Amino acid sequence: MSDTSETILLVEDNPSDVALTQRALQRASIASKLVVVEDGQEALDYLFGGGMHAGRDVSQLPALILLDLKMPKVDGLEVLRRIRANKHTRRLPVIILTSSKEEQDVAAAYDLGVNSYIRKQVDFVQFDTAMKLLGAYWQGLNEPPPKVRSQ
Amino acid sequence: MKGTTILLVEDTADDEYLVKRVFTKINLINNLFVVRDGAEALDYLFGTGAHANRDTTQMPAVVFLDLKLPKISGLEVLRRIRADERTKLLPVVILSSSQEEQDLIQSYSLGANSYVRKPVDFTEFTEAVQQLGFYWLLLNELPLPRRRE
Amino acid sequence: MRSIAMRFLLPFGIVAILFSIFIFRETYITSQRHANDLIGQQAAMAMEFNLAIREYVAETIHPAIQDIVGKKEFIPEMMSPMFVSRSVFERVQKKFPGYVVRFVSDKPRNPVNQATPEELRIIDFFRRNPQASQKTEQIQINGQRYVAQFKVRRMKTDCMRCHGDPKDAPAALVKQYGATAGFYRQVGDVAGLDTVAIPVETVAVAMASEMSWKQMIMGLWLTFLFGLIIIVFHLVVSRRLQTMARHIREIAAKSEISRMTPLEIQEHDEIDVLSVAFDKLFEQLRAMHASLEQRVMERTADLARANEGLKQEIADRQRAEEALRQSEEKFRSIVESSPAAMHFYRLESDTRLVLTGTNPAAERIIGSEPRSLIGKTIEDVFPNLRDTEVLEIHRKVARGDLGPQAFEMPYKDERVFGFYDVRVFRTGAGVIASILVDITERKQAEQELRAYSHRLALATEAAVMGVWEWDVISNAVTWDDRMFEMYGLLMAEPMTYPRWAEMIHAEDVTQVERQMRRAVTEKKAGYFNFRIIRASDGTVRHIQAAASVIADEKGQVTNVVGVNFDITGRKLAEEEIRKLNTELEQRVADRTIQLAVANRELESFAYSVSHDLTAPLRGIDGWSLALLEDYHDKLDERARQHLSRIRAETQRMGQLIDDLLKLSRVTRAEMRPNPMDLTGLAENIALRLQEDFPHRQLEFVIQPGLADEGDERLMRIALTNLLGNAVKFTSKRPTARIEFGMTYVKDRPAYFVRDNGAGFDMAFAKKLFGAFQRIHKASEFPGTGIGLATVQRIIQRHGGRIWAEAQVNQGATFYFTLDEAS
Repeated sequence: MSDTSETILLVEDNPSDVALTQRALQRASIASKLVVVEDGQEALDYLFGGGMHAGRDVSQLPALILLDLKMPKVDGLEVLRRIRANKHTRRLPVIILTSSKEEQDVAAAYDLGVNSYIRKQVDFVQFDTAMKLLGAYWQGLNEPPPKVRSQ
Repeated sequence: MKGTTILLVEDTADDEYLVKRVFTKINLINNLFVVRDGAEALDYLFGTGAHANRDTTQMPAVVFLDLKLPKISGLEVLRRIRADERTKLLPVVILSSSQEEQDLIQSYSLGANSYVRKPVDFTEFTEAVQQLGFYWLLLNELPLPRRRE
Repeated sequence: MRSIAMRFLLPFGIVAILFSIFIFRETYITSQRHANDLIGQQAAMAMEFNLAIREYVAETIHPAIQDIVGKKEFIPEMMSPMFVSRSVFERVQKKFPGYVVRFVSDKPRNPVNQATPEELRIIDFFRRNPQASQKTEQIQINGQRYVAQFKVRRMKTDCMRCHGDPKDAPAALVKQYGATAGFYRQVGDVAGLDTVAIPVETVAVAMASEMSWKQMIMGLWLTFLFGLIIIVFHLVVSRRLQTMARHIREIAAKSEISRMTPLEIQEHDEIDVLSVAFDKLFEQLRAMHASLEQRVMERTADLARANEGLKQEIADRQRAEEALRQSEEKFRSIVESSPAAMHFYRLESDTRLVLTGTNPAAERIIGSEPRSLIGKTIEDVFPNLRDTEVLEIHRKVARGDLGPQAFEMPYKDERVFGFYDVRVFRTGAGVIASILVDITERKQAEQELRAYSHRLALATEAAVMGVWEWDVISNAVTWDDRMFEMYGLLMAEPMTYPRWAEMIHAEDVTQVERQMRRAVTEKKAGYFNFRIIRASDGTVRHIQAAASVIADEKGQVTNVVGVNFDITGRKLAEEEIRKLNTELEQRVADRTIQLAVANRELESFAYSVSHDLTAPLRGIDGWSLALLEDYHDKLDERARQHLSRIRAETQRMGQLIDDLLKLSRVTRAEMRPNPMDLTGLAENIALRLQEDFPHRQLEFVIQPGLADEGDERLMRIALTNLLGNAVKFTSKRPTARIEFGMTYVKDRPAYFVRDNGAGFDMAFAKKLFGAFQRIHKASEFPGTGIGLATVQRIIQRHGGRIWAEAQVNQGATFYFTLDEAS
């Protein structure tokens, strides 16, 4: 079983959604530390230690990434593409968490190798349940890939 | 869209029985299809052999795949699923008792969506199967099936 | 070659060895079990004996001595059951070394009785299991295996005198062992163990030596038995069979069959029977040989007689031939004198007809030396008959495929030219006579008459056209008045072929001349279009022309006659139509591009609706719920109700957006028509609906064998909506009956979905298929009113129509057609 105190990286530009997600994760008793970044560029900075996250110890990877699709600057699919292209992050569990279930979005995400695609429901109770199941599954049940040792 | 069927590839009769029991309890038993080895799993997915009459435009929502299988190994099944245009995007969850780090790395490298270690404890196992069923059938969104041009 | 002995004895030997291994194994296991039983019995006996001694000391000796020495005294050598039994068994152990009989404790009074770690484990076992009293185990002592029996001893009340408080104990006891060891024990506590251990090896070794003796004897027995069998088998079977085989080989090697010696027969078993059978066989062979010689002689005599008969027959045949020759002579003279040309042919292969004879009249047709042509094929005699129907008729008659034939034919080559009346008939197998009578003169008269009427007819037909005639030999051209009008020329002008040719449009002239030449050489009518420049005003006119060829008696073309028709008006109209078509195509292409742009815009609109419109809705719902939960106490009932309403409306809005997106997706999706199995599709959807509504009584009636062309993905959405609606609107019925099938409406096939549900008033039928249009209250049947709009959009995209028929509370039927255009 994985260490539940590990970090979840939430990439989401809508502050209301961020707050709701935090609330849902708290209520679901997910003990992980939630790191929020507001757009795709910041997510990449966080993961690869650039921009305002320069100097961060990049060997400390989050256990799970929750990624919105439609974001300013760098969108979610691009973030996913870069994560999958990097040898340290290519096996990281990434879950798309977004409002849309447009066919093009879902297909593109799976094409790029997303682990799972979850649609944010309007109904908060459903959203709440989804976050609970999501947290339990990825932070409890799923066996994350072992850290890739730097060569 | 949401899928309707889970394909369980499992050769251990005990584990199969437990999974079926849990799925019956949570009313998803009609959504479970079990095959006993890797060759049959591929037959089912690609509509060959004993499953030649299956409508292959209807793909399962997720494949639960054991690694240790007779005939064709789980990793080989995963590799063939990812290599075929029809099943390239199909979510595959590795369900294994293996403790080998190598298995984890290979599974994720071949594009497994998730890797779940089978808990030994009966209660934990029941709980895990329940979560697996709910998560992949009810929560996860699937891409529409690709058509052969 | 493997001998019978090998094949028979080898499996027998293997079976014997396997059997003996099995027996050894069985006896070993039995004796082992027996040894274990024996050890167990011995251990139990020693245990019982040990206990008996102790009981006797405790119940009989101890009280008796007590009476003598008084309560204060204690003499362990006599009064301690432990001491006595230990002493007795020490003596026993001297006689049976290795046997262990002792009593041990974890807290012994006498250090001799200290338990080993193994025994401490057993003590611990009894402490944990208070109801257990006995245990048998295999243990290791000094590296030797023992079967050990343990009996637990628990503290009883009367033990307390010596094992309770030292103050109550006999002084001698205290004096001997001190005031601590063995005291302060409680009733029920495990005092210690009686152990009887018997070494396993002692018994096992004895067993083993006995076993090996028995095995050796049995092995020897088996070897002896096996040897015996080999010798007997050799004597009784192998040797005699070899003798017999040698004998038969000798006979086979002898050339003379009559000299055979019979086999020696000693006994009367199966091999002897075989030998006798061989003798009989040889006897038979000898007899057969004799009879064969007799038959050869008889056959030779027969042949000599047949030869004689044959000679007689040949003489008869020669006489008959002479008679035939004379008759043939008569026939020949008739042929020679006939005025008709006669040719005789013989069919030499399927197609090769060879001339075998002619008569003098034939010379007039095929030349002076017909004899030189004899032996040549019919194609050599009449070169221009090659590949003609006439030749084929000759062949068919020769083959017998046709009866006698009579027909007329023209024939021309460098020697002859004329018309002939031809008779062909068969005179024998593959032999025909072909008789030609010259009818050329009659034919020429007929042809002249025909050419004249042809020109007459053409002229009459050409009343509204210009008529022309071209004399090929003199190159003179004759035009009628209309031709001059058409070409804008004065009628007085003399017309020639070159003058006509120069008026033809420069681009067309080569093609027209080529076609004209071809008409002349191929001797058949031609039709062609070309343009001319009209002489009077220089305008371009479109002409359609026809030409017909007239040939003389030699087949030489003499005249070409024809017509011209001015089709300029029709050409202009055609041109106009083509231009309009091109414009129309351009407009369609432009519109298609516009539509594609609009479609892309719609797509990006839907994309942003899907992403951006739902996020704020989730915020509203989420924060309303947060308010309800976090400020539950501070809000009054009305405020809570308002918040619940906000949430319900928000969720409804979310549902509406979802459904609208579905509708727009149906509009945008690319159509991919393929053959689809509608019955299978409907059955599949029905099954899912039954799973989704397990508590409803849903009866689906689906017509088998329905198939059509269409986009299966879209059709699945349409049928899911229609069948789903049927399920929804039958929710107030105890049993829902839902039908899917095909019928004919106004002679066109139409699919239908029929239910026995709530139905609706036909006055609202028009509103049914509009987006957001609902004709039932949400409280009765929930929904967003987009489903049927989606269905209509899908049916329309398939080029079909959808409509409904219903009555309130009488159920509804939805009809739809696919591809009405076809």
